[in-house]
Amino acid sequence: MISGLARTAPGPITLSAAATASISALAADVDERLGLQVPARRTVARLVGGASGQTVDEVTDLDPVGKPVAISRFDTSGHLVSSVRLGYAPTIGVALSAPAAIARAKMVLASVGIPAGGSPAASSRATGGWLVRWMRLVGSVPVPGDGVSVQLAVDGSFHGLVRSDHPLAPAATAAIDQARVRNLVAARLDGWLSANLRDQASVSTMGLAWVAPNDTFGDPLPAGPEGTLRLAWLVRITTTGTLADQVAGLELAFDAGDGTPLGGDILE
Amino acid sequence: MGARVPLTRTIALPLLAILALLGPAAQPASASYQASVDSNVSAFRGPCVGFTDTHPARMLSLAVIGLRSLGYAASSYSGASFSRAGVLARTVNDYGFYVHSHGDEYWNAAAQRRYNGFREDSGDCNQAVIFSTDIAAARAGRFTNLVVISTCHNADPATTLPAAFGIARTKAQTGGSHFYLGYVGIAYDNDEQVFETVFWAALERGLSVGAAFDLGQDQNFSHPLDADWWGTYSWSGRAGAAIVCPRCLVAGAK
Repeated sequence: MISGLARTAPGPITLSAAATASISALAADVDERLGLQVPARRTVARLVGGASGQTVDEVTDLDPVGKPVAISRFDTSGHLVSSVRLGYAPTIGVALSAPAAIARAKMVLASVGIPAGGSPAASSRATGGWLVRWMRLVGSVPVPGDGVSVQLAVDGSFHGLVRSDHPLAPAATAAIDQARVRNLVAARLDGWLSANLRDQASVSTMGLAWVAPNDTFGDPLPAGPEGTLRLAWLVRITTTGTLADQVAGLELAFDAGDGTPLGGDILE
Repeated sequence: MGARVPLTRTIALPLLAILALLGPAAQPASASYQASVDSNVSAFRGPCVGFTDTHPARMLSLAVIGLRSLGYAASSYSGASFSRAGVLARTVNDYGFYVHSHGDEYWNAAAQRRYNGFREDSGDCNQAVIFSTDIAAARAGRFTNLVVISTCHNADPATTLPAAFGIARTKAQTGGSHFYLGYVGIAYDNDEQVFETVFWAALERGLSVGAAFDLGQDQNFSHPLDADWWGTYSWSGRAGAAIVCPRCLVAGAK
């Protein structure tokens, strides 16, 4: 999910018997492809809006005593959006290497027909296992909150997957240059930080990215359909000294076409 | 108001068994399970900085709503009311605890070593660290049921904070009524809010703490975000008397 689009999840909506049967069949197919256990029964509900801003049909697999053992979500076109195996079991089996985890993740996606181009990144998880992430790219420009992620248990068995793909606003024909972005950054920091703190904030990285505008710093959100990403200059600010005790870091976003602030993020 | 005895490894097994059997049925009808919800707003607004970050208030609200949906008598604290003294005064009676603030493994000058902790708000720009040792001392080994630490670093592999709340860094599918959730390494505000939105929503819908964690993790974040948990996966998170898990207890650890 893209940061900037979080909202509380409303209550689920019960679907018709026919719709429920259809979606349950989708889930049964996914369960088999992912190697999930056959549940005693399934429940189906439509989540309108929801935490991701997307309407999804959620299928919960239940064991014989009614305990959820897996949850899969489908968009209204019946495409798999996410799936996660629930439950905890002690780590067993031989741990995978990162290359093996990537290979296994590719197999998982292939099994459910989710394409993933480009080079994935594999990172080990604190809870054990791997996260293999394909970040969405538009040309060469990253979309940090979009793409496909696969979570694997230590032994390579399936744990979870999610894909996200938000609409993009039309991009300006030409992007403002980095010099102008640096001036915009300086103006923001000059306005935010007292003189004794100002030299404790500096630009560490700057690059183009598709972002979800947000109101982290009170910037007005641009007009347009909710959930639409905009091409922006994304600038990371590193802090030191006493400022770092307050704000460990910042990320500032500016519209790539005209420099309008699009919010950003705060590192704690 | 519940079995509020400090539970330690030295307590005889029969007593633990009795406590496990008593469960909520032994509680007065009007039992209130206190939860403290703290969020640092002052570090992220004037006069400390020239912007007003909207996330601390939102995450505070999400946690209060989530905890209340689980039956906790949740009260919120930010600004001057989220102080080191206030946190330590409340903690011994907290069945639930949430904090959103800076977190790290901070240097403790008195002990000449590092301990995990988080910063108070205190309503100003000088925000003292609340160390795990401070919390442990105030709690004297009694465990808090549901602990959610929305800071950087407090679920790092060697974190000392879970033990301060009486929660050992062990995992089990069943058998206890406690859960500690924290982030590993650094964490950006937006990503934390994304995770916690799904986490609390899952709990509100009746999913277990472990399932809520898994759903929270199963998202594409804008930055690398990792989290960890310790406790009992299948526990509901609901407020109530302790269902003890003898091998899960840590008594008075620092």
